[in-house]
Amino acid sequence: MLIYFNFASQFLGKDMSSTVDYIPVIIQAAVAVGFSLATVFLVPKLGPKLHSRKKDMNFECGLEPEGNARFPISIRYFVVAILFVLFDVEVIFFYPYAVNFNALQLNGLFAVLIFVGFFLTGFIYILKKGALEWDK
Amino acid sequence: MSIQQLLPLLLLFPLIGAFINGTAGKKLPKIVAGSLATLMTFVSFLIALTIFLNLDQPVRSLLFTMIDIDSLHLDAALYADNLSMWMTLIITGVGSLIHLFSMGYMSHDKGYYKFFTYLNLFIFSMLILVLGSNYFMLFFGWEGVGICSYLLIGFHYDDEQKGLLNGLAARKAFIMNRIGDLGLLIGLFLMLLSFGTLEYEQVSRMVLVDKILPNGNMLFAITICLFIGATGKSAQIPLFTWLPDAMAGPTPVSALIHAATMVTAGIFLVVRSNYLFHYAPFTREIILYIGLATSIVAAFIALRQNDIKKVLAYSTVSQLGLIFVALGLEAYTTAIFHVTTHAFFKALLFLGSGSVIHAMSGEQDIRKMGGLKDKIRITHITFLIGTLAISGFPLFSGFYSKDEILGYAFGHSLTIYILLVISVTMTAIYMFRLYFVVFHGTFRDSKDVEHHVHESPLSMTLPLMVLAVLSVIGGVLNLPGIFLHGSGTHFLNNLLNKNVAGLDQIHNVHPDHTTTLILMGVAVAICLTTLFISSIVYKKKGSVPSEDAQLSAWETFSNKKMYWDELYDILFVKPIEWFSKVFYTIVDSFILSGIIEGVVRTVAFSGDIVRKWQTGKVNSYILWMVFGIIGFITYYLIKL
Amino acid sequence: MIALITLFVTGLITLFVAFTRKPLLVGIIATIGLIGGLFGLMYESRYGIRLFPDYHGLNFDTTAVMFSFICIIFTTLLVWTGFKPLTENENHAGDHIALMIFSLCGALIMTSFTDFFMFFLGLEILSIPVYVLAGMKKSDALSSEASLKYFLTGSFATGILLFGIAWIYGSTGSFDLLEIKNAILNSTHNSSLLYVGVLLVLASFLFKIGAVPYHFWSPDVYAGSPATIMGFMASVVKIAAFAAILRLFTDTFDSISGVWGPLVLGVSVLSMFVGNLSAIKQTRVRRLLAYSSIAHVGYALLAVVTFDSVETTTYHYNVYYYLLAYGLATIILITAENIINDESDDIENWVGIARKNPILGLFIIMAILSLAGVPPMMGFFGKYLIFSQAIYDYPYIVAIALLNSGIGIYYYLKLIVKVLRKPYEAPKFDKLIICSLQWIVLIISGVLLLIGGFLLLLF
Repeated sequence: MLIYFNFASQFLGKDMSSTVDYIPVIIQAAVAVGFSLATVFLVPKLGPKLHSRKKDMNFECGLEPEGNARFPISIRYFVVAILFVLFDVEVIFFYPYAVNFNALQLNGLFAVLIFVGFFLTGFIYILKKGALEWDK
Repeated sequence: MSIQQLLPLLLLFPLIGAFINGTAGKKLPKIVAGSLATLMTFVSFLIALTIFLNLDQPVRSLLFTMIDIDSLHLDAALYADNLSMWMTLIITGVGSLIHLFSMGYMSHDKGYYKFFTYLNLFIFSMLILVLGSNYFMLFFGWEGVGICSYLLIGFHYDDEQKGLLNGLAARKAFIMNRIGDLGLLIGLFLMLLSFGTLEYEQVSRMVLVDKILPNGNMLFAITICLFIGATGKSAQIPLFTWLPDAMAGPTPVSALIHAATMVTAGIFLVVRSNYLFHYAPFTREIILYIGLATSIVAAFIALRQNDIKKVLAYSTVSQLGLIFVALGLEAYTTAIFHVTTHAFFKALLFLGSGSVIHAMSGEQDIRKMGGLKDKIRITHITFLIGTLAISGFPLFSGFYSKDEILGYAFGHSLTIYILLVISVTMTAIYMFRLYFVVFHGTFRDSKDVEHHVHESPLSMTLPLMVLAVLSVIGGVLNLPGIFLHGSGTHFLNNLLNKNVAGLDQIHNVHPDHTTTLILMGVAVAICLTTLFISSIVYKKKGSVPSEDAQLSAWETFSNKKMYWDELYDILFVKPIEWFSKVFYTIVDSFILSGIIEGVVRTVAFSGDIVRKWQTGKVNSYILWMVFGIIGFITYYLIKL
Repeated sequence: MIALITLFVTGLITLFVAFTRKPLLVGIIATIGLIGGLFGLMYESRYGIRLFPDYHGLNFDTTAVMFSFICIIFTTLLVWTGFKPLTENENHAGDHIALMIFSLCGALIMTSFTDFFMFFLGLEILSIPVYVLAGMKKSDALSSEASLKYFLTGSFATGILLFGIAWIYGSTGSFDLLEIKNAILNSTHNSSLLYVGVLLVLASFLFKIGAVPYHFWSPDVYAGSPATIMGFMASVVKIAAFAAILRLFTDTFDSISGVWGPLVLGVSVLSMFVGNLSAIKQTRVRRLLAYSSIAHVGYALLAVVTFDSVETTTYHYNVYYYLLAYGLATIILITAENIINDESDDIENWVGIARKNPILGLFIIMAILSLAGVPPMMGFFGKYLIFSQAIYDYPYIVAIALLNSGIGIYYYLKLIVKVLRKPYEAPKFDKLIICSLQWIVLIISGVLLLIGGFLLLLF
């Protein structure tokens, strides 16, 4: 505990007058820990229990489980999804540029042009590589 | 060409010879391979002679820099002064003769080219040893000759009967030398530590001119380490037992390496560092007594050896001991003088024995020889000259050099003189015994062998004759001043004093003329008496060395080499083997292996555990990451 | 900047050229573009040209140029060595190479960013193509698994990173590295917001380079993805991440190294142990390399921690040199993987390579020795630089690192033995086909590995 105080004082970067100042913190920590422990241990005791085959099943969600969950999905889905995310994220970078459009002047324009140029190169590469062709 | 340019050539020729014989020798005809090696050595000799005649001041010739780090600077340079050139002359001169001899002696050997490769390589290494300009070059040559010696001792390692023994002898020589080499190496390190350099010129200037000396203990350590190195190479107590075993090598090898040149490396080292030894009197004392002991012990062992080469080997050890006595007495030029004459007559004796062995179809046991004097006439006469020279027969070379040593010993102390006289007497005894047993009396081996006995070819007898002449007249190199008062005396003395660092600063007291004459008289009397008695015992009575079983106690003691090998076996080999066994069973097999295998198992085991951390599930991965982050924050909070 | 634009345009062109269905043309254009980028980089740094003087988001200083330089070279080598597997499927021949080049653009940004915006952008540009590339072999379940695992864990780490950046922003009020640095230096009492933020950023970085305990993805991903991509992750991605770590932690957050330093040190030690120990029992080559790479990250992190004591602040030399050596060795091994081209990636398939093709075997052994840190290979000098720097501050950690090098040698030598050993049974592949491009890669990397240590002496 002493270490903890010491540690905390280091973090906050100011001297602690006494341990009194920490009482609220301790109370809060105690409540937090107590509550979570209480829920974990009390809830199973308090509620009524009804067991059935369906209820005890893994991933119970009310629906009848059907077939095997581990069937293969075409890799294309993932490729397209990743490419979408990639280019989607690219768009995000335009936002700060748009906000600062005036301030950045011509230099900014060049920078963005280079940036877009790279992505365009990447896009061309993807096209040529055939990543977007569905049946190949 | 200046001397600087000539010096590298001196080394180059033997190296070229070794290279050609080593690479293409197998395909060359024997005569070409042999002549090439001989010629290369002889050319070296001629160059050495040219340099020697033109040398005035020491000359240094830089080849290249080996190491140049901050405080350590080592050059590969050559250094010629009268000492190194004198040694070079002996090496290349005697070397050429022995090469020539080998051409005949080894002519039936299948490793002919290999033999000459090694010989040339040896000459090259030996030249580096004496001509190097610093102790490191000396060490380089030192190791080089060690290797060549090893290779040549074990030259007949594939011999059916004695191959294993030859290999063992080579190994023994090598290991014994390693001990000495280690001492030398430590000496060099200490020297580097206290002088900061290994160059002869710089060290000698520091000691002699600037008088910068390390403290007494350090100087003692340096000199004793150098001396340990010298005992290894020059076969002194306690590291002398390898030399007699080294006789397993072909006889020319024994003559060249184990009598004339390599074994004098230790003496060269001490003479070269004379200024260091000058300030280390305690080391000199040690050298003196070690030399004395070696001389007597080896001479005693030689008394009852029956292998012709073993006798000569112990004689070599004994003579080297004598030279070390001279070194201990600071009679450096005398030492070099005896090295020179010894090189002549000992090479002669070894080659003579080689010729005898050649004639006897490989037999080395003197008990089976006898009466060879008429069958191999030239060998007989030359061998006789060698025997007389080594025994100190008047006016032969050995007489002068040995007499000088005795003179200095007398000047030092009477006890040492008497002990030396005993050693010298024993030398005369075993040499005359050898001579008479081999060449006189009746032939004692089978008729078959007797029929084969023949004089060696000219290539073998020529070196014998040349060496015989040198053995006779070698004394003129350093004639004492009592007979002549002209400029002809003390030639070597003056030569070495002229430009060898340190030698001119040592003034030995020559005994006065009367004393000298008395000493000479004693020496002559001993020699002649021994000769007389020996001739009666072995020639007139025709007595033959008895079989091992019939030897008296002292004879067995001598015959069994005073049990040195057994002593070393008990003192060093057995304990080390015991330790080795203990360490193998307990330390190695149990403790070390246990630790290592334990480590391996632990690593593998923890690897297994850590590996399981990796579950393969992403959720656990992320969980651990979260734990990691929590860990981080926790660390931070704790640290706060 | 010129290099970046060149590379980006090259990537785009490569994409469209691929529609011609001529892989060779794609390769040539990519190579020209990459080398053009290299020259652009050198030109720009040599003459100090700034293409957009008003723009400060990227700064190609010396460190950035150095790191970018080897990133581009490594990518080029990898494109060459992996040319065949990359262009195997004609439909996607251009895609793979273009993705690598786009990822390289991210790497360049990672080496040169000056604010957290560009940093994050660079990290994502670097990572996302690699997520895709890891799953290059669509029909291979392991490859798809690798891709998904990398993506999931990677996005989690990205979340942590953004969270951390937000906390740092909260405490210092800026994204700019220099301003953050000054804010930290000027404030007398930094709030915990900052520290927690820094630690979160650190955690995400450690994820990117694959340090314990954020390493779990790397063995799975390395082993699953194609060899070339594994090489890319181990060399270029790692180098870029380290460049960013150096930029952030040894520059911006240098003053608070007291907080993150020990943590990095701990992670470094953990990485060494986990990497080396796990590697011992691996039976698949790329998995082994993945664990060894974790260990190597551990060593390199050691250099990051000890950085502040280095005199030169501009040259992040030790880390650079180490990663260079590591990358070169990895590229050689990746080339070998591509040559062997075996789906199962079993270590037993390496048995007897040196007997089938001694020169290839030689290169492989050189690479392994370099990874193990055996002189005279470059890897040894890399380790030496790091350890000799670290030994003053953390002798014990260096001892641990040396111990780990010892453990590492165990499995590296095992691999060498496999390469040299005679196969027990008939080899699976009769012949190793090595194309000329791969030879070029092998020779360039091998020679650099060999002379790298001596180059060190020159500088």
